[in-house]
Amino acid sequence: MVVNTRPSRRGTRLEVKHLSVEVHRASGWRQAVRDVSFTVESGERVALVGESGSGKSLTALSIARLLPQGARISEGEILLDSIDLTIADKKTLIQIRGKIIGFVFQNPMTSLDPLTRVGSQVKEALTAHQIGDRRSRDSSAAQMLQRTGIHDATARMRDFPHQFSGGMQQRAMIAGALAADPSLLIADEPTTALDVTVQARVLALLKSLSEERALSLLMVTHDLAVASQIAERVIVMYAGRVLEDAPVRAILERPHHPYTEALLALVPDLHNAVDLPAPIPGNPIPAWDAGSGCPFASRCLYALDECSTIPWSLRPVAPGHLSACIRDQVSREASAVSR
Amino acid sequence: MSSLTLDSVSVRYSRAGTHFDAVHEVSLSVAEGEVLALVGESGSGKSTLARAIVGLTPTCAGSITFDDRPLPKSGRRPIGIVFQNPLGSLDARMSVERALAEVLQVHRLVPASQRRQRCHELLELVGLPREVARLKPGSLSGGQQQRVSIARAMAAEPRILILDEPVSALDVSIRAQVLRLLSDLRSRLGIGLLFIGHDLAVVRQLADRVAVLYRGELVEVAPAEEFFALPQHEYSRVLLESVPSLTLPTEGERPTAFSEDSNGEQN
Repeated sequence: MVVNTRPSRRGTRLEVKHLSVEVHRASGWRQAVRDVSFTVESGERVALVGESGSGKSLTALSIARLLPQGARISEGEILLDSIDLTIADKKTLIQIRGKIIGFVFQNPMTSLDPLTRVGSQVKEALTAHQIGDRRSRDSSAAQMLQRTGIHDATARMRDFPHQFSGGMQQRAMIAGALAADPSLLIADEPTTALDVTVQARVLALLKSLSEERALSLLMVTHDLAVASQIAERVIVMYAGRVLEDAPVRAILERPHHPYTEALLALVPDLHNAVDLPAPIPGNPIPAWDAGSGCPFASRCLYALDECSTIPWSLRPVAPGHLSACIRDQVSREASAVSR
Repeated sequence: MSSLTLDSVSVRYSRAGTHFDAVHEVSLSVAEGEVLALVGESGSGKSTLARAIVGLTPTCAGSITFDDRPLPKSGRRPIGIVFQNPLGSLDARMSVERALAEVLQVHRLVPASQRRQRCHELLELVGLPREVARLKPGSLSGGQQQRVSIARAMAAEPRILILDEPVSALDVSIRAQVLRLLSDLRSRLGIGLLFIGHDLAVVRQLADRVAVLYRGELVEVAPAEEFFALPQHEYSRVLLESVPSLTLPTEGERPTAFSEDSNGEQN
């Protein structure tokens, strides 16, 4: 099982322990997130990276207890400042959402109410938690909006979402998520729907806000390049499992799991690569079709017979660096022979 | 060598007496065997231009020709198109074979007796097994669906294929497979590609030339090597600088001004 060897340098804000999530399919409940454990420390920026079906979004939504219908937490604990969110009652969750955890989703167009003025939506968390009076809520919402780079924020509070461009809408979402000064922000693909120039600004904004406010950030993304721009630590997921969890520098410079290595090779290099990268053979598999071994084994260039049989587990391979790859545990000669 | 040529093409939207040129006097050409990347952000007019080339959106000025002849108003054209979202262009109730056979039938490309054979060839062309022919799009993976869309466009034997953000909706591990397929199609069949995208890092790997569209106007067209080494237009430079790379940000680096931006974004 998971051994977390990372020293608690700044104090743990969020601790996910052995989380499993099931989704309902025609064939019944199937496990889509399997035994996921990780921590986010106070003020730390962590990226959950994976392709579709990796379970990264289900993991993030579980923390918010915002799983859609047809998905449920089947096992595990999610400790936020020692409150277990998996068993928290509605009242506790309402207290927590917006005030302690803020959320930003991928598509601002579907998260903002088209019939409600932007200002009311930005200050929604303040209103819901009855923070301050009406006037102070207005001014702090306008301030937050201004902080995210929207000019003339006080006037634009009266706009409706359609009067904002996509990038501005996403910034309004971020302003709203941060209005009540939460200590943890969960952002699910916050820049995927945005143009690259706007993406660069939103990432810089999230980073500076997290530094300014000692805000913990858990960002879900499929893009390792985006993750490397903002995260201090990267958790790589595949088929419902965590395959690697390491500081961003280690992920980029000394990736341990072949899946991480393959993902890195797929990020096109603007400055060098002229050749197309070699694709990963095969297709991602659903979590529930993966056996107990390494879920990436069937697509892995370095796979050994043992990879599918030795049960998956994360092991420390360097300080603060966990990986599920067993190759250097199985004898190195065996690896050389099989290649 | 034949090429698709756009000469001062404009597309105008009119509403309540006001006019807006979504595409303004754009001139460019794509030759057989070459890959021209058309890059720009949302609202730049790149998809409008793609739709105008294949006749889905009317132009208000300029000419679009292939081989110095205007494109036929109906029937088979030498230009094909593949959109970003494969499910949006495939009929969910039609098997892959029917979707491909339909194109062959409408354009009377092969005798009925040879349609099945041709469908299998098309699937092979895009790297899909024959068994896929019987399936409906919904039971295919995203990458397979996009391959079917490409096969369908190729069924009409185009000389130039327009690809409107063809890999943006795909997972990264699948994206590389589709890019490789496109590159193969170009080198094996000698077709030209007009690759529309916003991700310059993806463009870099495929394009011979790059054209940058900004607010409906072409601001730069250059050979890829030159473009990436020394972009000329200010907007091209901004685009290039915005591409996230796998490098760690320098310690203590501060994000710079947010103030400059809203103007550009308020439509």
